[in-house]
Amino acid sequence: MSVDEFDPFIERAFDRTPPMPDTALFVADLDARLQSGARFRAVGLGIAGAIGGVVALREMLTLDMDLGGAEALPGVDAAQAAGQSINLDVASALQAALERWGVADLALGGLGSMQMFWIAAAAVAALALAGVVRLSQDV
Amino acid sequence: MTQPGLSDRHDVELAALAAASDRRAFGELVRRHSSTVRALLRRMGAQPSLADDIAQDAFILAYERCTEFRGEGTFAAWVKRIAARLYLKRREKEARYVSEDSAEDQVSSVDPLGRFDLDAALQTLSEAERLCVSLGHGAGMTHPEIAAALNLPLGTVKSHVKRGLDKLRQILNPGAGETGRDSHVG
Repeated sequence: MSVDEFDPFIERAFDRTPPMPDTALFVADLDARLQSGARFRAVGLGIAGAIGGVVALREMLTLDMDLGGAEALPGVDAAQAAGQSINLDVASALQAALERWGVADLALGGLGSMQMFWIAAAAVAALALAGVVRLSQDV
Repeated sequence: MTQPGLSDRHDVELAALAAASDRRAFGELVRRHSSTVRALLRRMGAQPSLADDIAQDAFILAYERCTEFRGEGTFAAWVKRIAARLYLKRREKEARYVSEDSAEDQVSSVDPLGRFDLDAALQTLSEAERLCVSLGHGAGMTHPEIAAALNLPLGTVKSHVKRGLDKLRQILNPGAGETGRDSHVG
């Protein structure tokens, strides 16, 4: 067999692999890994979303209350007063819930809400960067 | 993971479905090509259990990056390259560098019916020759790519491939002798 014939012959020999007897098991294992990975990602995203939601809600309520305090002047219309009252109710409910979970003082330990927000944002960005670096190292 | 009709689809179609997170389509691709990928890793020198682990990692990575597969080459070749690179990374981590060990004893690589047994033939090559031939002719990597992946000079890689192929040719056709020509890969 000449060199010209031999190179493609070897390439074909590499490609011509009989199916392995445990292929079904291999496929099932892989599917299980893909499934658990997807579940893990969904749970992670859910937790991150919940934390982000709580921080955002807390931030919004704080802002509303501050605005409400500044505008508590004679002439404030009834609708705004009602809205403020609802906001206060929600705020106290949220505060109670946070106290029950023991995280009520999270933003009060010398850090403001905006600082907390930026710290959380930096942590998420760092995590994303670490993920990208790891992926790039994989291949 | 089986879905009626998937077995009739082309790899490119299945890859497009997998890119849209269709795990059953990806399962069909795995079913079609896992044996080739696992065999390649074993031929590169990985123990069967390690080869299977790396093949799984390669397919998971391929699933996550399915959008990057544009059908320019075959899906099997794409996954084989991923798997080969993962295996080389693992070797690097375990500090198993390509050694210039001598070839193992000659074993019969042609069965009584005259069929060529690639696995047995590869066993007669040195580790470096086996790796270079497998990367070039099994994973479809070019010589410069192999040199970069193995951190070896390009000339060394070419020598390993040439010597490896010459040995394989001798096994297949004992009377042929060495021709002194380079292989076409790269």
